[in-house]
Amino acid sequence: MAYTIHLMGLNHRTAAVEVREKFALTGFTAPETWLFPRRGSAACPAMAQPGQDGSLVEESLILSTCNRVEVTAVIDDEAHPDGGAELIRTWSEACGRAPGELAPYVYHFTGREAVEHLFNVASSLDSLVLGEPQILGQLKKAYRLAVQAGQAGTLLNRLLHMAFSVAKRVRTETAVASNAVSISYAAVELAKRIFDDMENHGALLIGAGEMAELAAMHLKKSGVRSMTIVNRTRARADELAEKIGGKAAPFEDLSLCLEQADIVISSTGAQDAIIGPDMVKAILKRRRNRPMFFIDIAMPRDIDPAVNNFDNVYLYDIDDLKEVVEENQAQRREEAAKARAIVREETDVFEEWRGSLELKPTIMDIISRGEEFSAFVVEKTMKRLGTEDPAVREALEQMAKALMNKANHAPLEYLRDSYRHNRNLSAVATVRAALGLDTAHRPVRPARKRGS
Amino acid sequence: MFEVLSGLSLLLYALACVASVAGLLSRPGGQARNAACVLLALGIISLAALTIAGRQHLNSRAMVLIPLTALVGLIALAVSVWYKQSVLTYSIPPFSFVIVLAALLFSPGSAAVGETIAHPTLLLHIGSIALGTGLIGIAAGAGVLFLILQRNLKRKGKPSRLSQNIPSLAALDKINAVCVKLGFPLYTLGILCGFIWEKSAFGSVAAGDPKAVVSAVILVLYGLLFYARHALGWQGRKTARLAIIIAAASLFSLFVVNTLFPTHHSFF
Repeated sequence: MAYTIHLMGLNHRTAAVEVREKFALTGFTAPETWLFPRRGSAACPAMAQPGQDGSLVEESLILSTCNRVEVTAVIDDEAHPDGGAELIRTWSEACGRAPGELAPYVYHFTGREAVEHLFNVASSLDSLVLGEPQILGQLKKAYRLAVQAGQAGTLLNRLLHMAFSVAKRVRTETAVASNAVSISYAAVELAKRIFDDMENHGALLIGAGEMAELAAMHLKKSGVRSMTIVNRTRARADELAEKIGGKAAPFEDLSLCLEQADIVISSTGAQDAIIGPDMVKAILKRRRNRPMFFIDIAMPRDIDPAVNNFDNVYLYDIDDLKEVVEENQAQRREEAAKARAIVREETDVFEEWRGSLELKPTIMDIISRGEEFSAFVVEKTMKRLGTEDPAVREALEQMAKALMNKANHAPLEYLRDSYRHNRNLSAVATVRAALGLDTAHRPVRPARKRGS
Repeated sequence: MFEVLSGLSLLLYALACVASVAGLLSRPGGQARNAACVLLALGIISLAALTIAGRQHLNSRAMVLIPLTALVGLIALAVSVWYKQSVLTYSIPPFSFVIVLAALLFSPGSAAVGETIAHPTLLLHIGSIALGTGLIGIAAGAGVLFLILQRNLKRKGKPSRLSQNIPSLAALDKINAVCVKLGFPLYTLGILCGFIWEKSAFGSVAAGDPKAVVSAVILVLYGLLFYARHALGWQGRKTARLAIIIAAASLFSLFVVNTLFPTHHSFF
């Protein structure tokens, strides 16, 4: 049997959202509805019947998110030479579509390429937003479902555990996931560079626009002490305050609110600046120069740029934040090259392990052949010596074992080295033939010396 | 023993310098950061051993500078641990290395610590001044980091690896505040003890002594910083700059005034 890892799927690059939603597999990940039940698993009762070993896959994993639908499957290529096409057929039929509707959008990797792709996905190198953290959680969930459904075996268990450690290594050793790549999150990250701990600082929202709401959500998550919303339309301020767990204040109290807030997000529809240098100067004095961070995401701007000239005042408008985001994105792209090198390195490690798995039967055969031979020789020698002394037997067994270990060392090393360097199993046949592992053998009688 | 401890101390501080630079330029979580802290801690222990075991080989200046360097390092480590800001310790090894090297180079191979230096008032004078100077040194280190990060945030430029490793502005300002709060009373106590000892040792206070003049200027600046922080509510860039100026004046007093000007402190 020759087991191969197949990975096929569609993602934001190969298929539009309309296609992705048609072929989503979220309904097929429960143990009882698993789409690709393994040989003899309880997921598909028909397949579970003894003697019905027609199951396509040995192990499988289904990852279905908003940006990608992927199936990773271990298939016996000898039993299913056209396993890829069979996977597509099963997948499309499960979604009530013809295989021809799915096939044009699908990418299909096998072996090493499949492993590398999965590692890239886990490390968020294949994501729409490079380095985003959600995909790792989604992959962990997909793996948990596969385990619960009894669909993960030796290969997938090892593959997924390695994928998680590769993702961790990429995050630790590169900056691919560092620095914000959304405007609202960038604002929060900047606030963290100014203030020590967000728990001791309050935020003020002036206006109740969508972007301000998003930034407020991020601030709330980062743990700001309080959130006040000031809006010309009080009802909208009350509504947003309730939504984000803050409190609303009348627009007339703006100056007082500014005095108490450390982070100010402004997004009103005012035509002129509503916060000028004189106002900020007076507020700073009342605040005894405690730092203030202004985020102006209104267009036209709400805050006079001259405010940034004051000590302990930091003002970022929408263009500044966009620049920060673009720089961060560029930095992530640079780091992605380093991350891909790590992925390639780890793919080599996995492939080496997988190879050793395929070498295992031959290695076991060599060792057991040696043990049989040793036992045979020990027995013969004991008879010839005409003794049953356990001490003699033990000494002979130790000697025979040492000799066999020495004799087996060269073929075993040859097997491992050959796989390590050539990445194929050609040496297996040579070694098996040379040592006669596939012929029914009787331990060879030691040759007699002439004249004895 | 003296040569071994001297060499070991210098080696540890030199390695700590390399680790500090690597730590400042590396990503958070890198081993260089831990290495810098460990090497600094070992350097402090080594300097303490040098002070105790090698004191007969050190002149009075080295006998002040070497323990002072160890003390400043120790305070910096303590502040770093307290505020969970290991980056502060990175600014210590380069300065410490230069000071220890200078102290050892200018320390002739004979003991010069006289009986007068062992007088309790003088010891309190030296100890308090040393602590006050060490604390303003740490405030200045935090001030340099503050100015780098503040400039980066104000200019909205691409954050350098260094500025990414710097703690928040508020954390750095807090370090400045704590150091000034503790340092100014200690420095004042040191100056007062100095006058008392001078009066008892020489019968009068030499008001025109260059060292006394510079120390008085430093005390005034230190007092201004203390007052501005606590009474006027200064914080941020102004206090960072003032701390750097005071630290620079302290170094000028320690190295230039003591060496080039005729002063009562010439023995030191």
